[in-house]
Amino acid sequence: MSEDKKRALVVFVSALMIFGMLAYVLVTPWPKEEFFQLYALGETRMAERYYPNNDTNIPVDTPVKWYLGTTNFMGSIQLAIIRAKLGNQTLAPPNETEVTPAPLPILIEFHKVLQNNETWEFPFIWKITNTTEVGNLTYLTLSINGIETQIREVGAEDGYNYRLIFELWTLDEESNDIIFGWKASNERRAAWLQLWFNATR
Amino acid sequence: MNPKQRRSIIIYLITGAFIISLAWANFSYTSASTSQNIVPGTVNITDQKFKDTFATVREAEATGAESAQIKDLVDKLNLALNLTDEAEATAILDQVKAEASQLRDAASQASFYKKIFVFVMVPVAALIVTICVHYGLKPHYKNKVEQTMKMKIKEKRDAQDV
Repeated sequence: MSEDKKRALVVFVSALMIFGMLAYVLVTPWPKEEFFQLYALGETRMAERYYPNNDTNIPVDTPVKWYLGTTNFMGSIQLAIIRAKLGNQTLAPPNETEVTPAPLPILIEFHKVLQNNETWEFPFIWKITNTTEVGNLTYLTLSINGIETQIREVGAEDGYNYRLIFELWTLDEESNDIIFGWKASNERRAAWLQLWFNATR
Repeated sequence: MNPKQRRSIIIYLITGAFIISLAWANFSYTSASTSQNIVPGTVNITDQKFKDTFATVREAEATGAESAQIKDLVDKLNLALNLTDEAEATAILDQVKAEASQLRDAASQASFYKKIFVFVMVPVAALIVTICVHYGLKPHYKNKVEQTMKMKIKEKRDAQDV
């Protein structure tokens, strides 16, 4: 074999290996970190002014405006479900380690199918329409986005230390069930928020 | 064409082949922001019909359907979720499922052909590079041979002979 042919063969084999690797990289999907972002903003649509006059004591019939948002970074379309729950100081919040939701009644649920990298933000306007006293416990009737709900399961001493909990739920691809949080690389993860307030007359 | 120009052409060809192969990578990135108040519709997200439709759209996306087409299906899914007329919502879900199935099949075929094309292009690109390198370096070696052939044999004489 002449020198020219030998050199051409070496170049061809090297180029074949380089382009082969390049082709493999191009057709193989890259693993990316999969997660959701969940946030709540105040009435100015910023991380401030969560309560009227910046006072966590909310009188009856005083509207409070928040913005809830979630962003899908899962790399595929996702069904995002935000569940609002009312809690107090003693009832357990969601557990991120065990990935279990708060054992509290659902006040309202919002859902939307999100594309990858899409952010969904919507107003959450609520007010206390009525309070009921049973012993030293106060029970609330809330109006959320115009829908009124009476919550008999959760009371708070003198109306202090209530919290609104927002949990993110998704439709799991494998089990085809609605799950708390989401599955990323066979690992369960969760996102939730809480905002405290006191109910006053 | 001098050797310098040839070398430049080789570099341009290799860079061109690299850019063309990179263009096949699908770096899709979408970003959208919505602000809407959700009114509960009649479609229950736990319904098997909704789940099946959603899964079909997901499959279409996974097989490589274009993000604009997926966005269209996602918008229809959200419309169905917010409709209060159950019959209309069901009709939209049926339509979305049918469209997603077609899209999935088309995307799957396109993805298959894309892979085939990429791997077929590998030996072609390697051959192009080999030819370029071969003809690019030929003048260089020719010059070297000519230089060698033009060499004259001179007798080295000692200083005392001069």
